[in-house]
Amino acid sequence: MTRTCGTEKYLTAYADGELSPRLRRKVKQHIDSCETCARELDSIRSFDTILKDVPVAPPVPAEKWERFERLLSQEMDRIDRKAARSSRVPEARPVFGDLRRRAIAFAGVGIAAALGLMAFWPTGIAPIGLSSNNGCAVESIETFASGYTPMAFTSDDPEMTVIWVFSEQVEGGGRADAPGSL
Amino acid sequence: MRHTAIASTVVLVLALLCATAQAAADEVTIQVTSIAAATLSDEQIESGDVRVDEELSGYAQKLRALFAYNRYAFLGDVRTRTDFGTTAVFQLPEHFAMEIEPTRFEPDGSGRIEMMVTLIRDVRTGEHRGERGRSHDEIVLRTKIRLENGGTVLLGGPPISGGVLILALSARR
Repeated sequence: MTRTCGTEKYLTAYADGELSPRLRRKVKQHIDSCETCARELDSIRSFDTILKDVPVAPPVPAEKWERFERLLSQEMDRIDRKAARSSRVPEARPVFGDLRRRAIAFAGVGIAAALGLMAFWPTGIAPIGLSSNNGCAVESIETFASGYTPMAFTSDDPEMTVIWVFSEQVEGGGRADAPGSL
Repeated sequence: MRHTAIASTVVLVLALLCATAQAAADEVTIQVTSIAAATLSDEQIESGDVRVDEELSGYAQKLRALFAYNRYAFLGDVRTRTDFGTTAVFQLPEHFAMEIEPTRFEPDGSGRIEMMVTLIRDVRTGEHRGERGRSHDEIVLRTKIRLENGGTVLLGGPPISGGVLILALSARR
């Protein structure tokens, strides 16, 4: 295990001439008396000498840098696209997605057909076969006068079938009363 | 000779009875009761209870249970007999008329009478201009029903003076 004297941390700065004059004097006095630190300082200075002897690479022309950066950018884009394709998860689709869409479409067509029937059906036609109990079955029900809407009702208590003609007209100007509890 | 005369008489009487019975079987008795239903104010109804005319006592309970009006006035009662396939015409209050044609008696044991019912209103126009006015009929309701033999169906809703018209239609073969 190497013994430390606490001055090693200043040796690099000492070799580079970056210490204050006061600290530089103290470090120099220590090195003169400490063989370990003296050897370490020699090692640092010899390494700096090696680095100074390494030939510096000639500067790269600007056009070569531009071409390099362009090629690098293209390559990075290609890698990004490839990564995006490989990481793309197929869109999840509900199991009954098509069925639901078909059901919605079918319901839409049905509603449209019902609205069409309501719009073009002869005035006042109400659903037939409305009652089959209470002693009276209503097979058909219709009106040929404007302002009337006939409907059939059945009541269990008392047992009775009622065919009611709702009217928008009432003598005196108001609306006809509704049949109340029907 | 005497026996022959007696036998002939018996056959003739039986034939007459059968013909009468057949004629009766082809007939339907129809009754239409006209009712004016209205909602009156507390001042107009002294006791606050639902008032039903005595002539409508047979319908009072049903009327109270089915409708929210508090006044039921008896307007009239019409009864007639008609054959299947023949239209009976009933003149009703407030310029209404009803045509009823029993079309067939269901032979399947249900005992229902199939009828075509048409409610007609005589509409007068032009009277407001001081003229005598012209009238024309409008079909307020046409319905095909199968009514239990002896049963009753209620038809109503057309506005009349002071309320609405309710018709109780009964038929018995």
